[in-house]
Amino acid sequence: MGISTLTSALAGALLLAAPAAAETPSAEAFALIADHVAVDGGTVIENGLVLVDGGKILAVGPAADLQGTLADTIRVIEHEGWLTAGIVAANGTYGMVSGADDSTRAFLGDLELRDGFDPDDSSLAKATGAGVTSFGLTSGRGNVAGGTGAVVKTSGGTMLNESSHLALCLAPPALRGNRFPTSYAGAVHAVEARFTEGQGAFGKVVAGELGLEVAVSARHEIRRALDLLKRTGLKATLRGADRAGDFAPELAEAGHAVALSPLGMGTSPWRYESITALVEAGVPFAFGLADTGSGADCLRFGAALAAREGIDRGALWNSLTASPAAMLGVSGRVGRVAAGLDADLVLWSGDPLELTTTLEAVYVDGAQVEATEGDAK
Amino acid sequence: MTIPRTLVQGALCASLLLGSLQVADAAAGDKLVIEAGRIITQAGDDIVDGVIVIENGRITAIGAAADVEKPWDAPVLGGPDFVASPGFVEAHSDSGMDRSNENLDVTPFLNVRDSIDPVSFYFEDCKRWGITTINVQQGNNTVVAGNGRIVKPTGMTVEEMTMRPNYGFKISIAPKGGKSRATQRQALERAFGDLRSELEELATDAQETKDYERREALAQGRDLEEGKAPGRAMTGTGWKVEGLENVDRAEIDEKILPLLEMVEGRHDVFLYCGAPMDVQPAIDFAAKNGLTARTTLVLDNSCWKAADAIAASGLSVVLDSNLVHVETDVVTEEETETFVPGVFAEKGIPFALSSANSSTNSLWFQAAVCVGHGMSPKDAMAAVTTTAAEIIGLGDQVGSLEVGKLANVLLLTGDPLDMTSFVEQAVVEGSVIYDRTKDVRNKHLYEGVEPRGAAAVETEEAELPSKDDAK
Amino acid sequence: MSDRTLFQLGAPLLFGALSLTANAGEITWEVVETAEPVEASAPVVKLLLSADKIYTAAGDVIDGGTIAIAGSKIAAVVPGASGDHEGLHVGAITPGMVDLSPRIHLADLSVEESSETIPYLSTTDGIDLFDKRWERLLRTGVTSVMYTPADEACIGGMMAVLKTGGEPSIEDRLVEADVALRGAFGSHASRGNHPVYGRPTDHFSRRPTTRMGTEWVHRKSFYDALAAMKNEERQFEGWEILASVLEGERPYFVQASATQDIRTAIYLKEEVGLPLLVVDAAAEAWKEPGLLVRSGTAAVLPPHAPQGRTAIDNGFLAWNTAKTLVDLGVPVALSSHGQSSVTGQLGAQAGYAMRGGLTRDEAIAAVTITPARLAGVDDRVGSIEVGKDADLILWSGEPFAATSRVVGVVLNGEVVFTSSN
Repeated sequence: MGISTLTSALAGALLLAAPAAAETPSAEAFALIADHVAVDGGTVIENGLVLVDGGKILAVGPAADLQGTLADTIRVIEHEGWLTAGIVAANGTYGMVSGADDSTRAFLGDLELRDGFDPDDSSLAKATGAGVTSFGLTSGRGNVAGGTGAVVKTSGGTMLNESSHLALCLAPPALRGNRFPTSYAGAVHAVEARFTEGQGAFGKVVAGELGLEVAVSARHEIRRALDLLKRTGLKATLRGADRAGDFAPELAEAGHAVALSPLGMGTSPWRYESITALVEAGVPFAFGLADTGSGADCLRFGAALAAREGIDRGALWNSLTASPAAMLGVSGRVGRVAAGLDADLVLWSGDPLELTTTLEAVYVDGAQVEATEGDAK
Repeated sequence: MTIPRTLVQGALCASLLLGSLQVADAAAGDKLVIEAGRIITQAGDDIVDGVIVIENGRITAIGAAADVEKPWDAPVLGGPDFVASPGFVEAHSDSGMDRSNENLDVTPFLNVRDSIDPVSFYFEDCKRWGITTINVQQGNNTVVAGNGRIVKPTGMTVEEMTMRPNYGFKISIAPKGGKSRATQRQALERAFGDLRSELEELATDAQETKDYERREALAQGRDLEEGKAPGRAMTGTGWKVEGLENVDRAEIDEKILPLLEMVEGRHDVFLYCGAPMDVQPAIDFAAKNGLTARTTLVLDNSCWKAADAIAASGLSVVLDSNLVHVETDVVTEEETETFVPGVFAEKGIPFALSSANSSTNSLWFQAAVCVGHGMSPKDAMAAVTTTAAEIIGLGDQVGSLEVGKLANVLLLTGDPLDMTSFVEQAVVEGSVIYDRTKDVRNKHLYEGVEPRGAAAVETEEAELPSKDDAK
Repeated sequence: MSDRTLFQLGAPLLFGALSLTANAGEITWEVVETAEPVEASAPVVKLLLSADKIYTAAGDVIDGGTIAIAGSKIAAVVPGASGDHEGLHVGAITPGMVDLSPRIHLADLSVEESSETIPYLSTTDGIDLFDKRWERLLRTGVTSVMYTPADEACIGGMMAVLKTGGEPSIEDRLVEADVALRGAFGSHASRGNHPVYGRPTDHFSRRPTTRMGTEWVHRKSFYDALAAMKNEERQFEGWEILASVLEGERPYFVQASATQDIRTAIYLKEEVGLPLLVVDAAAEAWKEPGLLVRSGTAAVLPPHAPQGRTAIDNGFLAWNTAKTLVDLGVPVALSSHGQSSVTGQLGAQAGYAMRGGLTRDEAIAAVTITPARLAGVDDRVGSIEVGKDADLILWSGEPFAATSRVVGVVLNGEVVFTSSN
């Protein structure tokens, strides 16, 4: 990782501004000390300490500065390797045991996806085992309006946000042969009409009470979505817009974000070029799991491949953590190792953006989860 | 095909042409004079206000009106408003046949004679568009195809049409449907490998018989009658099997005999390359089997990329009717267009154009497109006349208007490469085979006039697949 | 070109930016030092193009002339000038071509199939501007197109005229939106529909399943619109678009290839009173040209087919169709159906029409100003006139001759394509 490894003194000064020392740890509190603590994509504390209490992060800082302030009774776990925030997938359909689509109608905006979510589904534990601790629960691509999504944790069933975004799809799987709409023009017309009417979930999006996710693929679909968003004056996360790099300046100007599908081995060069363009234009981007058949560990490995291609490591780590948390509106809860946030933490054998690195432990809400990387396979 | 071949072939060709001369014989004594405001000879400069004198199917005199004596008893065609040009030569075509491809891989025992349909639209279109000589070969979807044939687009039987029977074979280096390139090459290797082992076996058997007879004779104390060898030794420039003079050719399976004749350099071969990667293997294959001197490459339009290898091989080529090759860069997706004949012209490779027999893509149109890309009209015309004739071994017979050549002449309403010119009349071997004023179907195509007696054609409701079936 | 020549024309134009040289078919473009504008308000000529012949499609052919381009517009057309300036000299220049039936679309996804009448949809919402075929069309000299979706609905959506090049967005390429309403007769409109019995019900279980059904849908829609125009209670989604067609604000642009379908379209025009009717893919218009004349209907012809039978409903297109119609005064436009091959492209279609009897001037009109007028965008494109968009084709020789080719294309004043071989 090592984007800008701060000196311990500077890091301490910055991070201890949180009221960590002021709060008194409870009896359950424990401290994690790791060789490298990645606060986010931009900051790594060498020999850092994370104080966890009540499921939350109480304090973060260089161990040298913090250790002395801790009571002797506090349990200290030392880790040779890296400590990071849990990975946040921009989207996923894990736990949607009876399917993430509904074929009866194209428009199901007011349907709450959380109602179909099973927190005990085995796929969730596998995701945890890959270091993915939260994700944006969303619909498949079978509906033009697939419902209202949520943000959930992969362990414990915690809902970070019960109604986070309206999931739209302006791509072929939603344009089925046997119901309205069958065409792009029909879908655009109907979606625009609903935003104009402002009823239900569509109204909430217009009022700014609900986020918006638009699933697309081809460039003309991205173009169409951007035109629609411009006409309606809305901001959205473009899901599956892997060619978004071609539109990077426009996306940056309009304030949209992009949820890419994960990178894999043998991926085309243009995908890396697209990501580079997004980084350069400052477009927030993340990776999602809803449109891939690969296991959850593809998020980290895909980012590692991008790092291998020379893409900025800090931006890539943020794309796995802080950026999706912000896109899903839960950056006050997850996505960084910072005081006050949920203690969703992962211990790695080394730099998580190296392919050889393995996962060693996962904590969700401060509790170690019975999951090792082997489970993800 | 290399240049010396034409010389070697002249004699062979002349003998084979005896068959076709029968048609001319039927018109023996017939004379014809063609007058034109301009004669494009393709054998030197154009002639202004020229005259062509035809006797017994051949050109006996050609020149400016002032210099040529017109026989008093000959009918006259044309006039000062017309342009005369050599009939176009299609150097390779798989049209005009019932079906142009055979399921079997190696079929040199087949003959396109049995597949050519004299009344197919293709030959009718040939007349309309001025194509007077056509080398019909089996399609490219083959390993070793059947025997081809050079025809004229006139006559109600294949025999009447034939200029040169049993001419040429198509061999494809590109994979036949269902094959990979590897299995295609294997099938080719096997075809000629099997031939070789078969011949070796026959030669060994014959030698053993001969040795036995000699021992018998020795034992019986009589003189061995040294008769004439029953066969003849293998010739050619490729591999050879020794002792074949002891084998009666009649003993060789007729299914492989044509392959032996190919190796001996007695047939022209049209090697199809479907991609640049096929070109070098094709050249090597031809060399290995002694075909080089008689090989012409039939190319997909992407094969311009292998132009250097072709130039080095000295082979001639027949180009695809799609003259512009478009390639998309896999990374940038940008398209690059290459004008294919231009590449071959620049490398000095003799090339013939071929038509897809579309009324919008006939030989004249392709030649015109070449002019549009900077080629001289004469060079462009050569690719559909003289070069094409050389490629099919008829360089001394057709392709240009010269004394002694067959009288295959087009009378056009204007320059042959002009979009608004029409073939008014086409003459093949001294006979008028096409007259636009009598072409009822042409009238239908141009003016919508229904041919007399033809029932009004109702447009049929096409049987279209249902949408939900497709989904 | 000297400043004198331009001042003589009363056009205080300045020359800078680009220098072009041409020799033996090879074109080289190079940027030269830009001259400082003398007056800030004077248009700066950035490109000079001259040709042996300029076919303006707006009057006479100019033998030897120069076109000056400032910004994206034509700033001056100077007759008599030759290649004595540092600009480019070619065989001929024509306006960029306008294709009203490019048929480059996303097939089924380009047209809403859940209903037969969808006038309220904007067809450009279904466009793919990243399709390589637009770029190929541009290389053949087609600079403007009317975007046509697949013809799966009886009354389709509203169509727009777009440029074929530029940034791949409607915003950048739009010439004019909502220029015409799309419709279809013939077999395409009812394709796939089936009766409700005998198979699972789906949204294709509906009328029309026949040509008469298709005609019924058209008549009903326009009668409904006529009713809606008089009675507010009878208004329906998209009625005002049908009303605008009935009032002649925009043409009804309808596919009809076979004679019977052309007849049906014209009878509909006469029955409900459609002031502007354009029949697209009108292959068999030659059979009853009198009907087109009588009703004032315009025709867009499909590309030539080798044996006369075209792709849509097997309509038989005779080579002289364009000539027959033009001679009778029917506005005729030719179309490429998206073909960019040497034999299929729009320029070749114009050549075939010439083979069928059209003069070169008539052929040029049939691919430039006539289609521009039919789509109502002749104020922007379709001819070489001062103030119009600088969309031009540079030809090696006479336009549409088989021995000529497009050596350059200028779009919105920019050289977007040059060919060197």
